[in-house]
Amino acid sequence: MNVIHSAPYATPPEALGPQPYAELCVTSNFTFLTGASHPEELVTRAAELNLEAIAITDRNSLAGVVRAYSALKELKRTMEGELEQAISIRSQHLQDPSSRQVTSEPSSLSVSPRRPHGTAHDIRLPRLIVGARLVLRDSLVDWLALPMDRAAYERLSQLLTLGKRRASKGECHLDLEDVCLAGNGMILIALPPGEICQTVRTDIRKLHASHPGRVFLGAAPRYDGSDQAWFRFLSQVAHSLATPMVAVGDVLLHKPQRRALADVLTCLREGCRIDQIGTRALPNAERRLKSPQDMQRLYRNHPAAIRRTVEIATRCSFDLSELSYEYPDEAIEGEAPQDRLERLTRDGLTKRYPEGPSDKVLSLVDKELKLIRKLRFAAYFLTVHDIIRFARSQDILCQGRGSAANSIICYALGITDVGPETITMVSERFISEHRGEPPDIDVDFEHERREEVIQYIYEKYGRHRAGLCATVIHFRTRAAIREVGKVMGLSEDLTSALSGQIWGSSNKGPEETRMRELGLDPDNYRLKQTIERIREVIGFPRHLSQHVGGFVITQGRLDALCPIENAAMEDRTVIEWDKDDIDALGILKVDVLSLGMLTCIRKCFALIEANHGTRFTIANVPQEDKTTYDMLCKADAVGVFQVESRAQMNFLPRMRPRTFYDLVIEVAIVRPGPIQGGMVHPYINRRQGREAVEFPSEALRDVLGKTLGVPLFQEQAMQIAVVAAGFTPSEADQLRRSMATFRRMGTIHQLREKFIQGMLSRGYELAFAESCFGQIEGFGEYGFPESHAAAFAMLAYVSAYLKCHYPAEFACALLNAQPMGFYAPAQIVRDARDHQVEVRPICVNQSEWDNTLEWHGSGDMALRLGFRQIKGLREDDGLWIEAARGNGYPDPETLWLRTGLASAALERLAEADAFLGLGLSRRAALWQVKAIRSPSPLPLFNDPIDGEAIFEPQVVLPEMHLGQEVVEDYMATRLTLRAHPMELLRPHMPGLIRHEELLNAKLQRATVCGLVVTRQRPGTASGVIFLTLEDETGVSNVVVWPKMYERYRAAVLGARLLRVRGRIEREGIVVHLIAEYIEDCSHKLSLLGHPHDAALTQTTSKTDGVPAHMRPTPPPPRAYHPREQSKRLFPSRDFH
Amino acid sequence: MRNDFASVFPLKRSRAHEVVTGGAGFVFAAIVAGMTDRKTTGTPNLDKKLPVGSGPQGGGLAGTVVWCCENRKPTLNPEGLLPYCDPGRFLITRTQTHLDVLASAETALRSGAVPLVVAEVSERVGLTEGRRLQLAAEAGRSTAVLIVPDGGGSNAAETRWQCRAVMTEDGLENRVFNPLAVESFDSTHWRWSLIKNKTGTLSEWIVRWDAATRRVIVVSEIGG
Amino acid sequence: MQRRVVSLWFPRLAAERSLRVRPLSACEDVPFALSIFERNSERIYDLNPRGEVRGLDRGMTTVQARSLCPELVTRPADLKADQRFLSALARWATRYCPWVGTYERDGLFLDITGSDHLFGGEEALVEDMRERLSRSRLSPCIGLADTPGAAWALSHFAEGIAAPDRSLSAIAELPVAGLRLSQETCNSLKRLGIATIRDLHNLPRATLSRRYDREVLQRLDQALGNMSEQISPIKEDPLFAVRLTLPDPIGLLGDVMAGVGRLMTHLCERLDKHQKGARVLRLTFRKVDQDSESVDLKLARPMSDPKRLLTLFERAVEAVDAGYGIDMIRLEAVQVEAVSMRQMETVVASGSFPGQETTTDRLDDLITQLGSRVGLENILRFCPQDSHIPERSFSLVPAAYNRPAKSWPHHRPRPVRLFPPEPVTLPGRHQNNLNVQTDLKDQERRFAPPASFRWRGRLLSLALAQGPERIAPLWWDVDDSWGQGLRDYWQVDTRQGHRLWLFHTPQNPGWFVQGEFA
Repeated sequence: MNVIHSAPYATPPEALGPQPYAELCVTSNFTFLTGASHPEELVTRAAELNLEAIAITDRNSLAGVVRAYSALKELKRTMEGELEQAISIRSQHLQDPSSRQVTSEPSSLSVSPRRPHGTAHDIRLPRLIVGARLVLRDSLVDWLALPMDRAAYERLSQLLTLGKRRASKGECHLDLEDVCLAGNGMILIALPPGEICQTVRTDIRKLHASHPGRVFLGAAPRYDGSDQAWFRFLSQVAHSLATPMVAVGDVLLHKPQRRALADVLTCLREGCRIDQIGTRALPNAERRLKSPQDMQRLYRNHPAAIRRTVEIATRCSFDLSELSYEYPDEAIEGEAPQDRLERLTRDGLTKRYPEGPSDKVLSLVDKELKLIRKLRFAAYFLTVHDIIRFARSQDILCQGRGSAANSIICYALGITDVGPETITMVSERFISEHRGEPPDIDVDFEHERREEVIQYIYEKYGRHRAGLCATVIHFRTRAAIREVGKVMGLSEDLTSALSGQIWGSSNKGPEETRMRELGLDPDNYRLKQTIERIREVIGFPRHLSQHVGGFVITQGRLDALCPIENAAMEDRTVIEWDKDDIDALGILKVDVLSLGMLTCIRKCFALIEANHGTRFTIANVPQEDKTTYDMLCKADAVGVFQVESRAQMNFLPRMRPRTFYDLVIEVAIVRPGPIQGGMVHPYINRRQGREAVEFPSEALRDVLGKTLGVPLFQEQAMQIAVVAAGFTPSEADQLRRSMATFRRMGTIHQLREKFIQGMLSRGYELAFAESCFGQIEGFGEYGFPESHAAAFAMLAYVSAYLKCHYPAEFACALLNAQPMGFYAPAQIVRDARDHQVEVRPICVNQSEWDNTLEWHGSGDMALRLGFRQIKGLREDDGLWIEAARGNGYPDPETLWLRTGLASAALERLAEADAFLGLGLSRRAALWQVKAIRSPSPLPLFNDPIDGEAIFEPQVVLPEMHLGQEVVEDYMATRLTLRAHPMELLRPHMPGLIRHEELLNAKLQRATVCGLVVTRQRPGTASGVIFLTLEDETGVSNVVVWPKMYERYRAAVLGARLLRVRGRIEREGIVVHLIAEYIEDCSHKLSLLGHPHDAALTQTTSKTDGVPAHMRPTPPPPRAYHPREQSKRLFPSRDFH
Repeated sequence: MRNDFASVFPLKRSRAHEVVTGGAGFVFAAIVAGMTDRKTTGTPNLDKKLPVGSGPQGGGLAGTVVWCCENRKPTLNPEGLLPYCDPGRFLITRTQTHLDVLASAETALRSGAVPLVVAEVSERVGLTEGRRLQLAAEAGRSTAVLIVPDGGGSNAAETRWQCRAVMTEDGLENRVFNPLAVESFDSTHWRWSLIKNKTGTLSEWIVRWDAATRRVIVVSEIGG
Repeated sequence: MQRRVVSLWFPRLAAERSLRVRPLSACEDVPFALSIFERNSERIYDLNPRGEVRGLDRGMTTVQARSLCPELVTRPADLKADQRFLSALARWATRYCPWVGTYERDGLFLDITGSDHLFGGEEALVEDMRERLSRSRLSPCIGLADTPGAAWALSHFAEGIAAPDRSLSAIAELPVAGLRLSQETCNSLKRLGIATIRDLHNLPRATLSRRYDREVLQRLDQALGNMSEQISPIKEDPLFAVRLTLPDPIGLLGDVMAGVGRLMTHLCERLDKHQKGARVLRLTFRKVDQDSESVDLKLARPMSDPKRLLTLFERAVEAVDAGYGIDMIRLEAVQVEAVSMRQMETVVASGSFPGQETTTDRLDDLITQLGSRVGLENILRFCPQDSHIPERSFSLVPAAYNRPAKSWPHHRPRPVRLFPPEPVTLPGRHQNNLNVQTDLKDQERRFAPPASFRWRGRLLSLALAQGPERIAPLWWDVDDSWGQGLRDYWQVDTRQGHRLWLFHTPQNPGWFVQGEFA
């Protein structure tokens, strides 16, 4: 950096006092797999360093700017609100025990003169400059484009859109000519490559000619020992080109510690391992944000280059908040949106309340309409209404939810079906005046038909006005472990062990003890580094994908708002911002989402209408049906939306839901948020009357009355913050948001402090305050607002009602809507049979692709399994069988000739026993189709006179016995209608009791045995493992404490069939077996399929020439190890 | 009478020459090595692009350079050689003893398979050894450069050189960064002193290396 | 005479071989497994019975295995050694009969027709075999029958001896897998209820051939002796060694070289025939006093040119002390490498007929010659390495096994000599205050090169410095020499005429010289 001469040749710049500096070239991690810091981190660090301004300039992208913008806003809020704390946090940053690289860094040794203690008013936040680094196809020069005003911003956005629409997803094809045309109003800084050749000069001249006065030459340090010479050279070039030189940091990192991560990202980008990275690695950590002092020292011979950064920053006055955004007016035939909304609301109210709405309802409507008028959101509600109207007209099932859906207007417009009688409608949540944020309505549609709705929106508004939001795909724990592990040279089994068994679902990282269990050395340097890098990379953006259904619709052109790029799906375009960005800028969006349960319900409605003539909609399913609630109280909930999980099913009998609101609570309570917040037990104790319902204060009675004094919903958490901790409504909302978006920035601690202090000062107990806060923290990611819970509870109720009254239709619809939900087809079928639904096997002459219902002799419906249940059979093949069936197939050969199915597909059918209806056993059918080996029927041999096939010698194959049939059923369809394997094995395994006996057995030790259906180790349960074992009578819950797990680890992890002895624990109808002895019985499964294996040992003696005692026990031949066999057949769901 | 640089440099072929050790001595050897792969196209840029070891030169052989040294770990740095010659052409012969260095050098010279053999010797080279090397160089029509300790040469050598970087103000001025030439060393000045010459007079020159043309440029002649 | 075949199956060959070579130190009875990297994971390749009891299985990932069984001891599998071991076992088995063949990676076939009586009958032969093998800590499974197929089935599924002409009844009840059918075929047969060899045998042949590949019937026929199957005896690698025994001892160099020349011609012919070239040659002289002496010749590349080889040997032979005379000369190519036809053709195409040297030949010969003095591993080439770390930016590789580097990726300012860092001592503090860099702040001066310093006993003063170039250590690797952390490199010119490469370690202040520019 220095050429040191024996004589001084420049005035020490320090003599003039510190100069302000603006960093104009920063690559954030939204230049995917390149930048190594979040925009938020960069902005915060810029504030710490007292930079004048910071430009976020990602490669051909504006994707990260809104995050930086939000972060800055957040910092500002924090400082305005809690000045002292903000400063203390900042000094904490300085005192952070830094890595050896930090201590080595000169700047960290200096104390900035602009950061004296206690002079808080001196601290100004850096300004954010929005920009992009344009990397062109035809130029060696990269260009920083920094728009100075809104018009220029729009041109930049359109320029990027142009480049992105030309290229395939994720790419951007721009030429120098494009920049020449679009560059008006932008500061353009040339970043020359390492060598300046003639073409570089030509390019810069060209742009300078068309944009005089706005083109600069960026000088970035290289830290390779030649910086001063390089600057001197650049200043000569700048002089000759008449483009003033400006200092830029070309920043990749917010702090030096991120250098390692930057290298890992380089490896991911280049697809190499870290040991192969070579000089593609950063040689040092100098590409970090630097303080003005550091930059000044570096450019001490070119002070003007530093001064110029601030001049440029001043010229770039554009701020993202200027992006006023116009929503489509939705005016039709001269009727103003607000008038139309009011009219439609009135019409809707008459429909909802045939006897006329109550005064309370009317006043609420009035209040909401006033608010909408004031904030001018009427058009938005009309848009949602219109989309819903379209879906209804097409018979597409839909339901709205989200904060804004929690309103009487949405109820009246038919957007939601949960009325104000049921849930509290908090207008603060409906639309927050304070937040100035747009209303939020999500609409769920049937997952199979959502595309029709999307196409409708495109058609109505046009592609230039409507686009999907992006979803930023982040590194999740598993992917991070896998990919970083690969880069660091860990073998795949090691990384899969890290993600599967050690890391778990939490982000905290692996526990040392568990690593040691696997024989990994947690002190191993490489492994430590790997784990560090994994921790850092989790949450990094990876690429942009399309949001599931968040539509942004504008009155004018969408590409003036944000760059648009092509999505992976054909004919889809996506804007660069995700839904949080949209929210932060106050841009309206409509979420068009899909929900599998709606498909199931619609299919079920259709079956009911076809078979019984009853026409249901979600709104007209009979409410508060007693038998439905009775069913749920018994935890009879397989397939019921939201309450079918193991935890929910355990909770149902304790909760004993009797009304709709109970379901709302049920849906909300068994979630990580309330569980972590410790809210579940108090609630259930109070509900069961074992604990008095008390309120810490009268003020909280209003807030918590409905939930018996226990906060369960997001709204309640926010209201507590307002009522009990003295937050303003907007602060409360900030609190909620900071959980989700600002987790990594450390502001949460301040809020926690303020919250708890606020509650203590108002006379609440510390424990209560802390538990309240704990719950709010839990909400950060998993929280449910009441309206969401109500919307889901509605579907839970409807699906429960259907299951209760139309079990056959429900099971059939559920199977046809697969894959979805918690249970596999085997469990759904089994549950249906438990409810006296006859289930009929797959038959080539009866089945269709989908599962169907057939009339049963007694007038009930029987469920006929469809071809879709056969593993490996294509839908096309299934449909052909239906289509070519005619009067039925007499034999497999005919089926083959008519449908032309490939022999593999025929085998699939035979293996699934689908020819049974033709009088062919599975084996006989298989034998027959095995003979069909040509790829397609040959016309020559169609002639039945051709004798060869007919006169094949009769072959008698041994009958399959039940055990084999069961195994075959599982192999072909993953379910069986014959018998549960345990039923067949039970005679071989004395001393067991069946699951159903557990319910009434004495509370002592008992032994059960069953197929392992699930293994779970919830993060909330401190190492306890929950197993579910299925036998012919049901599914038993087994609890394995860590000590038992230590002892029987192999069995717990490896077995498919487990025998467990333990203590019975029972609460109501919930039974747990606390494991004390665990045995892997997987080998017993071989009894089902391969009886000859067992007979093998007897046959050996006949030919045995060797004395028995001399003979070592032969190991099982490799292919026939029983464990392998059972693994394939009875897969369990592990550790989800 | 002034001695003409061209009469002594490039070094006379089939002879043994000596240079006194030190960084500049190594550069001298590297420059000599660089001369051996020169195919005279007359265009320096084309010369640079010639594949390694192409074409006959010197003794009409591929331009491999055998570099003998005693150290277990040689100090020669290939990347540091780059401005002067192609390190890919070097065959490093690493030996246990001083004697092995001389013996290896002799074998290599005599084989005639390489145009240049450089030997780093740590001790005084005896007259007999010096003469054997000289004979081997003649037999193999190869050139020998011995890097010898200060005052450690042999009388049998054809020439002996002493090289040293020059710290003149002039030199400093010339150290201008040239981003087109990555080697920023082409303006370093050396004082090359011919301190023994069997067939002529002694002399001194200030020279510099011109990386673009790959030539030694005489800046000034000091005479001797 | 009825053919009789033994099938020897070593179900745990790899594990047992590894344990024979290096027994487990503590007690034998711990779970032990060999691992192999397969399908992107480290997996169990073979294991001992203790491991099997603990529920481990071949193909399982070692991580999974360890989670089931934390005390598992593993070693990497060595497939080549296993193969060599199986060949050794095959040679050992020739004690029972001449016809021994290996089968797949863990089995042997022995055609013992007519040789069992030497051991007192078949039972005794099998017993002897079992005993000897188990003494060697191997656990074989042995089957004896009329055909290799039947013997194989017995060894894998029901050890024992099938009486002559009773193959069918002996193996009828065994699973179809006993017929060496593919896994897929076995599964398919099983699902049809065709579980045993008898089931299969009972089916009409036409129905089978219509449904299955030829493999099924062929294997059945082989097992039952309806189709013959050869046991191919093991092939030894050709031995490249020749020997000359002399009627009268010789001692003159010319005589010895003449003898070596004759051997060389023979050896090279043999090498050419197998398209091999010698990489290492060993010449052994036996002297009349029964003493012997050998000389090795390591070559820069595989060669089979007798004339050149002879010349290269000359110097080494000169050094041999013939004593009272040499009565036997043996020449062996200890290490050979394949020489492709193409390579040989290029030699021809290059215009040189055999015996004439090309330029590269001469260079190779020089490498060989130098190598024979200082060791071939000491003739090295520079090879560029892609690294920021100066010490790691190149490597020295043996010239005999590496082509010259085509080009160098980086052109950074680097010194012509690079050596391990040598600390410099700074003169007294007050002298340091005479620092010439007056345009630097105090704080920065601490990181700028000292005005004067002592290196290799000489006091040097700074004339000019350029830098720093900051290089941080590789964060993913521990490199002790970089333990001090990052380095700021400076190019420093001293008034005394040295141009040095200095670096500073700011976090642990110190200055070091690591190289010399000129």
